[in-house]
Amino acid sequence: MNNFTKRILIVDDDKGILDSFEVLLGDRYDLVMADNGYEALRIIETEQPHLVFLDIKMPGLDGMDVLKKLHEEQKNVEVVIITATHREETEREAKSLGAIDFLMKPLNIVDVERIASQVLS
Amino acid sequence: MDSKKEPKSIRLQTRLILYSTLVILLLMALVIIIVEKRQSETIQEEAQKRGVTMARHLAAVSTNALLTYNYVILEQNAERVVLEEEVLYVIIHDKEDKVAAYSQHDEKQGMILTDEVSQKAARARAPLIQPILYGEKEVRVLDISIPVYIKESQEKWGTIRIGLSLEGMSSQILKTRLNLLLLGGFAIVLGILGSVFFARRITQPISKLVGTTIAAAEGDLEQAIDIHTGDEIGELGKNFNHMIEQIRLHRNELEDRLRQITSLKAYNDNILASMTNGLITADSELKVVTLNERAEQILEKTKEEVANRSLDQVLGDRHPLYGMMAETFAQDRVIFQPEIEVKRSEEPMWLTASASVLTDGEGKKIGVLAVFQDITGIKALEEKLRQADRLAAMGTVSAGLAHEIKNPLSAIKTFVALLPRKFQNPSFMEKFNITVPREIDRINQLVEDLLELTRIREHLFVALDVNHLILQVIDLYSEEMKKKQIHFENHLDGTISQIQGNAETLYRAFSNLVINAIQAMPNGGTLRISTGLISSENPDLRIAFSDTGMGMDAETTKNIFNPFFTTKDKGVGLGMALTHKIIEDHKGTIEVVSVEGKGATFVLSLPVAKK
Repeated sequence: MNNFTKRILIVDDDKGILDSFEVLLGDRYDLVMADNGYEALRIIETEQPHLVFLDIKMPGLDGMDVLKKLHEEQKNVEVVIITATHREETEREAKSLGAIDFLMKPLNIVDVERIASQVLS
Repeated sequence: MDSKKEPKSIRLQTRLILYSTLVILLLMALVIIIVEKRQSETIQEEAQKRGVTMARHLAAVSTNALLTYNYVILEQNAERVVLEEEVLYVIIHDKEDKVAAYSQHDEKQGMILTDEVSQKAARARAPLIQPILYGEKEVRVLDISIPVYIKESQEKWGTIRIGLSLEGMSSQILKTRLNLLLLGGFAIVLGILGSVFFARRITQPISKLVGTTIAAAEGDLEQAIDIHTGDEIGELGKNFNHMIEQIRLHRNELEDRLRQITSLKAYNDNILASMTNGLITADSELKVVTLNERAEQILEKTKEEVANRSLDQVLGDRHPLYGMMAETFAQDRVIFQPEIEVKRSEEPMWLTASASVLTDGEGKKIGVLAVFQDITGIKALEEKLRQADRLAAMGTVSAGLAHEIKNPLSAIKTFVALLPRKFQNPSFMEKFNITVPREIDRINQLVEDLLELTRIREHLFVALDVNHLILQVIDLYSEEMKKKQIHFENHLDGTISQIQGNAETLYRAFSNLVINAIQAMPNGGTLRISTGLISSENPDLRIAFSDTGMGMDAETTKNIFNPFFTTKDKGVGLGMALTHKIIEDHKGTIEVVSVEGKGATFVLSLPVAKK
């Protein structure tokens, strides 16, 4: 059951979200946390996670900026957007930039676990 | 006036001709009369002298025949003399006055003639000349009689009479008279012609002058009089030319001025007509003088309608423009009204208007002027913008709210969903017990803040010391400041720190400002808090929080007090909105000035407690 070779990056400026990912996936995957976009890009560069759960609304470099950067640099990493506010155009744009899924907060643990196991199997 | 315009020179000319003709006529008549008289006298004297000479001669040759009564000789003498020119008859009387000889009248020899002339002649002791009418034809004749005396004796021996016809003389006189008349007539004609010529010469320049003056009087000043007579009339013409030139210069100057005024007026009219603002002016009796085209449209009045009517009649005494203008004129001051509503036939119109007093060059008040602009469209636009702003603000609030609620909700949901699976895991339960209440508290705090932000409530205001409150806040954050190398500069004025307020909310507001400053200076800096009077006129308390942090851009400065607007890594975005609300609740104000990269200053004003 343990799959510590698979690394997941969680990017969110909210401590509650980071904590909930910790309890949800921390016992199965190698989790790395970032609370802003710059940190996220740095970790993606250095630690090469397989999957990123990326929040959109963050101060400074936000989720969409990070996604654009990854798209431009053609990084081989799967990105799932997690957001509190849903907007069709944001979802469309995210998907056009390579996001594989778009999850709405409050998150459903079933969705998160399913995506993690699918991507990292 | 018209009769005077009729050229007088013609009458003057006629008069001159008449006068000179009269003078010539009189002179000529006098000359003719005198000459004729002299001439007649001369001719008469000549005739008389000739007759007397003939008679004396006859007497001389007939003396002896008279002494001897030789009638034959006497008769011969008589017949010889009677042949002389102009001699009509020769009568010789003897000593006894009887006819001794009578030419061509032999039958009268020896008779005594009884007619009066003969009697006088016979009795005459000295030569006698009697003018008589002779014969049936009553020819004018001089009867010349010479008494005949013997030498050295006084005794008369006879009388010689010669009848000398005056017909020749008369015809000679007549001829002389005729000549004189002809000469006189010729002279008169010449004189008249001369007088006409001279009259013309004198009056022509005058009539020219008159013609010019008439033309000048009728307005034709583009002419000069060409008179070079070298006399008073020439002088008059010269003076007149000078005068006309002066008048012409003046007139040209006036025309120039008029043109300037006309073009200036046209220019002004154009400006007024081109103005996008309405303009109305009134005189000192508040009667309308000017109304430009835009004003006509806005006020729905025409120039003709309002001209010279009083403002209250034109606009109605409740019209805001009337009120403004009347007040401006009465109080002699400029009035500006950013928004006034005027009733119109359809929708009401909003105007921005200003009124000011009109003065003349010497500063005397001569009327009042109002300029106004239709801002109905701008107002509608403003309303739309406000609505858009409200919607945008609502959007920001909704998005902020969603973010701030859904994050803790998401955490709670995950923890709760994992509970059945992991409730026996002590590590999970430990995290559960920390995270779930914390996240619930977050939501609760958010709701509380939102309520606080929108709550209209009368805070319990008490007298409090602002300095004390600020120092309390600084004390609370001193550890954090020390850690982040932030230095506190105290510029609190101890003499004016008492205000009426709510300590709890003010404490929170000051805390937010200090937290904001600390977060703006992650690499250290100075927080300076100063208090003091706003100004000598305004006794309110001024509190300034200055940091030397990263500062804010214009967009942030503008939105800093809006709910959920945040640039912070942490935080909800309600702190500054709440601070703003708290200061407003205290009837104060809060503003921010910031230079990006150099720091920011929040300036508060709070009413000071009345003593």
